[in-house]
Amino acid sequence: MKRYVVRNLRMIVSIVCAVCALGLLLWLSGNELAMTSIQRSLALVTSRFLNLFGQNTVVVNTTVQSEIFGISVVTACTGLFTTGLFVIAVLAFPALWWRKLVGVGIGVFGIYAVNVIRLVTLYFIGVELPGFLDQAHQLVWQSLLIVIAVALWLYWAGRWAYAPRSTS
Amino acid sequence: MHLASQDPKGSWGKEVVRLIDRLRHLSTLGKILSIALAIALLPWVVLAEEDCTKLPDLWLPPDGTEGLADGGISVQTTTGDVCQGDTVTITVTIDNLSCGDAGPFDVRVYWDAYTNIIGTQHVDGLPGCEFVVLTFTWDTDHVPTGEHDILLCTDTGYDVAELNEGNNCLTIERDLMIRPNTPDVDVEKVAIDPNGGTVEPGDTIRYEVTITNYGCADLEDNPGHEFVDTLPAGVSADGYVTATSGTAAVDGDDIVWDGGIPAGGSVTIKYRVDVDYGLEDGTQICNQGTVYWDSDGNGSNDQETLTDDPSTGTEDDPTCITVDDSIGVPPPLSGTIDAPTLSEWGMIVAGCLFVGAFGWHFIRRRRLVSSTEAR
Repeated sequence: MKRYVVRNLRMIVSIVCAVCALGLLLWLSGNELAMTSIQRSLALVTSRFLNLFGQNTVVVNTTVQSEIFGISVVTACTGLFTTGLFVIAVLAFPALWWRKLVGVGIGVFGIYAVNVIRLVTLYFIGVELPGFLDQAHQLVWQSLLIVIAVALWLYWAGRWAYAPRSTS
Repeated sequence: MHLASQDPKGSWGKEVVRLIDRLRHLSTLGKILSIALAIALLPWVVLAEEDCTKLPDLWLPPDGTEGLADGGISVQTTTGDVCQGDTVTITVTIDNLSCGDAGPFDVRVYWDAYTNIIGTQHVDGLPGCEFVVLTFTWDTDHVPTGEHDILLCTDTGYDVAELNEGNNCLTIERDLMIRPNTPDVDVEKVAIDPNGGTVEPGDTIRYEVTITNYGCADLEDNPGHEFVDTLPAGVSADGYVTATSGTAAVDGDDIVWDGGIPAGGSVTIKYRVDVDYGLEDGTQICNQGTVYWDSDGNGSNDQETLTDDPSTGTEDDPTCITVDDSIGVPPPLSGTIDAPTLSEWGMIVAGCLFVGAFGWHFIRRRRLVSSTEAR
């Protein structure tokens, strides 16, 4: 048993870290202060981008509002679950720790950036094509976000995760 | 004042009959001529009217009544809603329904009751079948604000003996609103199921709140929210909230709006909620939003007005939806598991894709490591 643990120590630590990441994800999703902070940060960044396009938006709590349209960033809009899955998959995968850190960075910042793009485009769809907003929100962007997140993970796994035993 | 002209056909007929009557009294030749003339001018003789011996009949035809003398149409209107202190112009049409001429009489206009006189005008007389149009002006300086009935009466002194004395009064169809010189708020809230049909668990409901400032002063954006709607148990905001002006937002379980409304203007706030799964059939979800507004212009909101559901006859009542889970749902055997929502499906698919990608790369990596070790 001891020998098995020693041989697979790296794997066991990886699984423990993944479980811890899962716990952190569950804790975050249930913590109102943390969720509000994430939602507000997304709203602020989205508003900043929209203002670059001359939209004159302001952020009220977690809502990005202009004179003509408003979008409210709720928990489901944060991409937290997708990011959490990404991080868990990175931590559980057998790879060097610095490479896992690169993976976490790619996942967190990549999905956050895609989410900001999603919110900006949804705002413009809401203004220009309000009849298409529901489909764009629930079908198009939800699918795109998942596909992009999985593609990012595959990119990380293919490009960064493989580590020859000799170098470890 | 306008008087309509007489009917020309009847006048011609009368002249023809008078001419034949004169010829008949001249001689034998005249009698023969009168008979020949009567036959030749038979259509005009038929059209000739007897002198009217009927009593007159004054009445106030409802606004838009056609067929008055000379193709006239009755006008019973006001110039519309005003701010307190402004002047209202009231137009009144009095018609003499009978062929009998009416002597002098008075026309009077009231508001709300026959004790509140707006004005009285004297008419010197109204020939049979003719009508007269009068104009009254009303200074609303000391009149209470709100909706008022405008009542019109003719021959108020019973000076004219009429065929029918029971049709001398009329209430103008459209109420006149005298708006206060301060803000005055009315707010309506309706629930709309975009899918139509009944409200089922998991449905999305759109609420539309319309706040109208009936007053003649602007409603200012003061400290604090101008509108708050605390969502009741059973529904949760889906994040969609918009307003035609001002700023609307979701704040926890509250929908809030901040902004001003110009005098006579309105704002519509729309927001969507998701009906919770697992609600029992027949569950009623009711709530009311509250508008906070400044009635005295001192910069702080001192008045509260609750939303009203306009689809019911009751004033200031909450807006309710009733969950109907009876259609197409088989009775549960021993508890049910709700189908995933679209968001939950997204999470399930994302999870499966990550597991698949992980497994594929994991196996690929193990093979690579094994082949490296074998070498």
